Amino acid sequence: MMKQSKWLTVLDVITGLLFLTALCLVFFFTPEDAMMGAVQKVFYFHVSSAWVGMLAFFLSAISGAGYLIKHNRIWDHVSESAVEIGLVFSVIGIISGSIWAKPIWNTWWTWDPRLTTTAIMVLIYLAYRMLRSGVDDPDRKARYAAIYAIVGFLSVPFTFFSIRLFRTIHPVVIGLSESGGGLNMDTVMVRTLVFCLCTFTVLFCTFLWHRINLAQLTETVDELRFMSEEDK
Amino acid sequence: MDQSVNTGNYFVAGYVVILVLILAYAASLFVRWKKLQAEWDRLIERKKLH
Repeated sequence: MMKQSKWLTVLDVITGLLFLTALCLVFFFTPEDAMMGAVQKVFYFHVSSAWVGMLAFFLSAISGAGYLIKHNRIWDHVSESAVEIGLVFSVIGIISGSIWAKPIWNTWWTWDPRLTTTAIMVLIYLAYRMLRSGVDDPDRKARYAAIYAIVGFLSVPFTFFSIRLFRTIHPVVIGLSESGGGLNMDTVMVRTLVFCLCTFTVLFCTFLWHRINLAQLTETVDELRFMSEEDK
Repeated sequence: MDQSVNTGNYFVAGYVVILVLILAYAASLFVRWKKLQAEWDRLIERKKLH
């Protein structure tokens, strides 16, 4: 039986503690926004999820390039794993944003540039998954996926800067928009946001480590299965 | 924004959805790992028999 690294178990515990602390900060220590009320607090995990989504897609592009240069399968495992985690967190970002939008914008969804580009970005990475499942040869699959991950990454900066490039009702969190519409946050809110961003980054690393292990085990099992079929 | 809306319900709903999705993904990683481990054990056992 294959065992997971003890360092990964340590990371699991650290991640769990950080996550609980982040939840406590959001629920009990941050003040409610005077205009939006309690729903504004969704923003801490919403922004962190969106951040992890984009970070994951960036890593998938970097590891895609790594695979094309080195031809080492580990880069493909990192890229595949990062895309899967990026998709999960991007979907969390979209759903949590939608729940925030209902009382604030009076609608679950609007074709605002940020929302639209995020939806397109998610569809692009869903297509990445479809591409992988559509190619049988492992080397060709890894090569196509690496090229797709690099080209698909173009959608990420486009999504990130969409609130600066187009007229939008989506709040600008980092820096000020052209209209000066940055969020008005006090020190406690900023500290909580930074803590949540760090926590989600650690959570991403933990999930990534587990997912890479899973990809490696999948490859080993496939090889064993192939060998056992040859023995028949 | 409709000031009469109690946004507390949306706050709770938002965090329930976020936590459920994160836990569901963690559970899916765990289940897939366990299934592969069982398959790996089975294949190793079979290889030993041959």
